Amino acid sequence: MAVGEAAQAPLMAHLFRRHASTMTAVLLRIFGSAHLDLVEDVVQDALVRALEVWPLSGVPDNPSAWLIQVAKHRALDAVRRQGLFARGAEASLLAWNDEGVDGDSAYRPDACADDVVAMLFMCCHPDIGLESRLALALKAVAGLGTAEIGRALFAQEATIAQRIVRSKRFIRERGIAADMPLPAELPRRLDAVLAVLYLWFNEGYLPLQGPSLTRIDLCLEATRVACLVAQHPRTGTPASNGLAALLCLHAARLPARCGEDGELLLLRDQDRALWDQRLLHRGFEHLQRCASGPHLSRYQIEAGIAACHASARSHEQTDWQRVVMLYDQLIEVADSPTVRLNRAVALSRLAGPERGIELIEPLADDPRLARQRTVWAVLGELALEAGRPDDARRWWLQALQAECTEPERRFLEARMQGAAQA
Amino acid sequence: MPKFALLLHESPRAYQSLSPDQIQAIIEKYIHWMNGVKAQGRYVSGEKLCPESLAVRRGADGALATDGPYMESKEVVGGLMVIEADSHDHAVELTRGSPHFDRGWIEIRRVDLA
Repeated sequence: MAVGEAAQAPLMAHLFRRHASTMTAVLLRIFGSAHLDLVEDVVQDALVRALEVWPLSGVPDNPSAWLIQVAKHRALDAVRRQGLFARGAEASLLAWNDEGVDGDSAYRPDACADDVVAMLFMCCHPDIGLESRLALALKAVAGLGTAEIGRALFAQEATIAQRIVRSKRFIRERGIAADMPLPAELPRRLDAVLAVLYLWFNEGYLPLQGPSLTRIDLCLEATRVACLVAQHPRTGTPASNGLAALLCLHAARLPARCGEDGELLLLRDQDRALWDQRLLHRGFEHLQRCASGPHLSRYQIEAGIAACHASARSHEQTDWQRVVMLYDQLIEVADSPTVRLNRAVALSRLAGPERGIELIEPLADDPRLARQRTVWAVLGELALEAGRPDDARRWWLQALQAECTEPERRFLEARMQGAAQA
Repeated sequence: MPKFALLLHESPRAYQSLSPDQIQAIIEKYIHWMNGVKAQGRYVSGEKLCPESLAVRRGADGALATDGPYMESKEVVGGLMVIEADSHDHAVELTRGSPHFDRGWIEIRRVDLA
């Protein structure tokens, strides 16, 4: 090695996380879900090995291939040592394509997609509680650690660890395979998967508290996985395409949701030029594929609403008539105070702020609303629009007393000041 | 140009609880540090050492006797890096920002070129 050797190129973002996921998925297919703990150990060993070697020896030319090689050798050791796997395991391991995914240009996010989707189905069995399903999926599919999952979900690390242990025990005891469900089971199992992805995205989109408005990372990861499910030949149903469309269209708007100082921006104030065109395009592609089917799922309808916003040239030019119509459909499929709140806001664009206030006020006391502050904040906006600044301030004050993220708090305070000066 | 060997001492630690992102972050810190040394044209070589150590001595009968291999449990030289530096002080300066201080300490030995 010569003095002044060239600098090392940076690693691809989240390379390890991605590999933790794909390597776990491949090994689960080979070993079976009964050996989930062993698989996790093998994968962790490979990552730790890189930590021991790369800092001083340098990052190998093809980091992915290196990691897969190591995991493969560890797995083969386990097979030979324990001799407890079907004879096919060794052959399958040897056939594991260790070219991996290239560190830079040739990276294929859908490498091992089939295995990842199969693993997702295992994690998201409908008989496991929704939160436990999500915890295990975030660990196995997203490659997050328990502490990271705890931070993402605002839960104690111990709680998350417990949920994961419980999910794993269920999988072991019930013999849930890391495999695609049988056709007869598929609809119910797919519903369970989509529910997890929907929750996963929402956890990133609207955290209850904490300094950051969106954990973009969490949203993007949920979107990526939803697209894998929608693209899979067996799970590319209208509902899963609807969910993929919905998440892509929402994720596309994330870069515009906050201003330069991290302050919250209303949809009408967002710079639409900041929307991620690639994600928008992807969202509309999935939307086209979800239009068929005898009955509409909530995901398809919500995707339709997101598409109305995404395709409008400005807030004023939004097709509010269609938005209200879609919310009416959504109420039939999945009625909730939040849906009614959103419908009322859309309707107020057509019928005026007073009509919106009239519909929204009774919702404020609904105990099913997870985020009361949204109702107060919206009422404040509508009151201001209706020329009732005193009511606006009163409602914003109530919003401030509810649980808020830091950017939301700053946003509300700024609105109140603005209203006072007006 | 004087050369210095950096012996990277560390206590074998359990990394089993680190998440993939955390592992990658540590590796990236090392890359960042090494790239800094390289950018100044001071990097010569680096090697990772296995933790097991094997001692070889010539016994009284003239035959070679081996001892070990032992897995050191307390502290090991986990890696070896050779750099160029103007002086001891400069060598110390080049270790600044090394993430190795998160898990151990660095012994600096001047290569005797005289």
